[in-house]
Amino acid sequence: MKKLLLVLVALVLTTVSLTSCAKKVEPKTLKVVVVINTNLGDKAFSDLVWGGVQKAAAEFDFEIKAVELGGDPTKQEPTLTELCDSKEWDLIVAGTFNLLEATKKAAEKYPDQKFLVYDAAINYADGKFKNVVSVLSKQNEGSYLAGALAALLTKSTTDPLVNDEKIIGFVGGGENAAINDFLIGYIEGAKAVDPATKILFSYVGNFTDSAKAKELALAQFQQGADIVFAVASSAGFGVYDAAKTADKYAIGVDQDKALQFKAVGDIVQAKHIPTSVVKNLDVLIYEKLSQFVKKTMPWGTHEAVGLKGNGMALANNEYTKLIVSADILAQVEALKAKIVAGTTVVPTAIGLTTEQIQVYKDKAGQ
Amino acid sequence: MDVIFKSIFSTVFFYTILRVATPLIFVSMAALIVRKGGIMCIAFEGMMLFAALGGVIGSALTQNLFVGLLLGTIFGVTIAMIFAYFVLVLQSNNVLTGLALNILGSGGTVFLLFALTGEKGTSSSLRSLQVPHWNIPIIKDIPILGEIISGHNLFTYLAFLTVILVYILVYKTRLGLRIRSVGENPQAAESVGIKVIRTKVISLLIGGLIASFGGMYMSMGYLPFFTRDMMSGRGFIGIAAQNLGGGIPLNTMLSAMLFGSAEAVSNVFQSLRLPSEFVQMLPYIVTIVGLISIGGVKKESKSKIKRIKEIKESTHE
Repeated sequence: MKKLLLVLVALVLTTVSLTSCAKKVEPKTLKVVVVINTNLGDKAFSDLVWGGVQKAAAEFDFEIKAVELGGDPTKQEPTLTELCDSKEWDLIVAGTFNLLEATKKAAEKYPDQKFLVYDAAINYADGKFKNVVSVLSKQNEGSYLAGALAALLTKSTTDPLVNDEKIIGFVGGGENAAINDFLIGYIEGAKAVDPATKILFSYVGNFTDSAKAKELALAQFQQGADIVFAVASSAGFGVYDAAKTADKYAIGVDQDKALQFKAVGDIVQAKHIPTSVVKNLDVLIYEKLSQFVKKTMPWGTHEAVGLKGNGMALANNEYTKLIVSADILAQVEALKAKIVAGTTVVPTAIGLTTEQIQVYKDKAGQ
Repeated sequence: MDVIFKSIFSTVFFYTILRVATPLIFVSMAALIVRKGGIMCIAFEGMMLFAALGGVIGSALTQNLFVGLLLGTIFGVTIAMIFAYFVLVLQSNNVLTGLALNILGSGGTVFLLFALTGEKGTSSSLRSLQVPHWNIPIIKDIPILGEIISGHNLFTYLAFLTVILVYILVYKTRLGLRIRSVGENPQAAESVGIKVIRTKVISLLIGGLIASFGGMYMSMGYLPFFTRDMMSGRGFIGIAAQNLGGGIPLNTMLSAMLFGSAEAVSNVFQSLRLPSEFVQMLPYIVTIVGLISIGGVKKESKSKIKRIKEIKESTHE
């Protein structure tokens, strides 16, 4: 037994030394690995991140790889530890609040390994995490405009798809800080244009059950909502289908959903999506990666980019113009200008306790 | 409160229950047939996922609904046959095999989808076909009943038809008798010349077929596209419904509908600002409570039988 162990250890050592020798010969190109907490191909969040990385890689010529965790929390720490241990990667890109704790642990344990954290905030105040840069697009600001647009649209008297009640809806994937950030922005935006607007909200409980998402949206339409905001990754497709079935409206998320549906030829579906809250995370990640290549990365800092700086935007496509009146669009544009100028500050769920978030949720039904 | 009553005591709500319960009825019937054959199979989730994707691929490529249904069925039944080969022929552990096939369903469908469309999330770029809805002629004009019963997807009617067909198959045909005897006492069945393994394979084949329809309902009726992991545990709830129904077709169907109602209630309650965590628990609580109460009844009836036997014995002496 002991002999076998010895042989094994010797084998491992030789392979390790051999491979490390081999690596030194290679010309040095930067290597960046992206850890995706869920999966690529959601046509939303993950694809956006990967798109930004790909664009930067093409331009600055570095090597990239994506690791997909499939939403399995037990894979988070082992994957990150393995990536750090291999010392192969110049930069590990990891993001979302779900992956944050594991990333922080790894960053603390491996202070020489560089990290780029997206869509989550890190507290750098106590001098920790000098090897990390974090960037966040302020979803609450984009969501605020969506809420305002929804609240204005539900009051419309000319649109045949809209009823008399001032009710709008929201279907979230799971309850986490990012989703609640969307929700709070949405509630605040709707209340800002008309305090009498009622906001219904439900959570699917996961990001895959599109049938349940459809049922939740249909239940909200049934309770008088005319427009439902879907923030649920691939489960969100159920909400869009619900809008098509019930002949109501849905608001898309992360990417311009109406144009996506148009691209695959589903015009009817596109006509039920007046707008989408677009997260320009690809732009933010591209910028950070270009800083990394140029060695100007501000290590140990956090950056939150909202409507100002184009980190977030409300899609304004041909279907928006078709469904939403110019008057409403002008009002939304005025609200946007206020946020950009800094006169309106949209509250955020990030860093709030459950009780504090509940205060905002309680406002929704009043 | 007013809104709760308005939402629940409405025709739309009862219509919703039928829609939500449809996949559960299919799976529970599949589970019932397989259970009657004496097999413990948990691979329905995998069968349904493959069938759902198969239906989408078939109908998208040929633009023919029947080819879609056929391909979906072939996909689902193939998984059932793989299960049969491993468990019945190679004698592998049934729970592990079922688990493995479910994981294969989750990953394999995404792999196929990616190979075909370059996407990993949904099949919305494929122009797949949908099974139509049906307004039942005379019934649709009856005030309340018509609104609840008419206008469903054809799959929903097929689900209820399946319940009747399964009942006839199990209790009124020779094949059904064989399946039951193989499930209850394989040695006795073999002694009278019934081919045990072949009969079990047939029960799995029928089970796979029914489960496939449940899967195809999800991607060709309920929703017009396939999304990854779209079954989200429905295969398992179907098995629970079969257990709660005690293996009797009608009771199993009612159990599936009970779970469907719990799900529908939880969907309505969520937007009424009840805590989402609590409401999401509801369908599962109903499942557990149901299974516990069935367990209690069974125990009671067993002890009753024991008591009767004792009395009989004492009278004989």
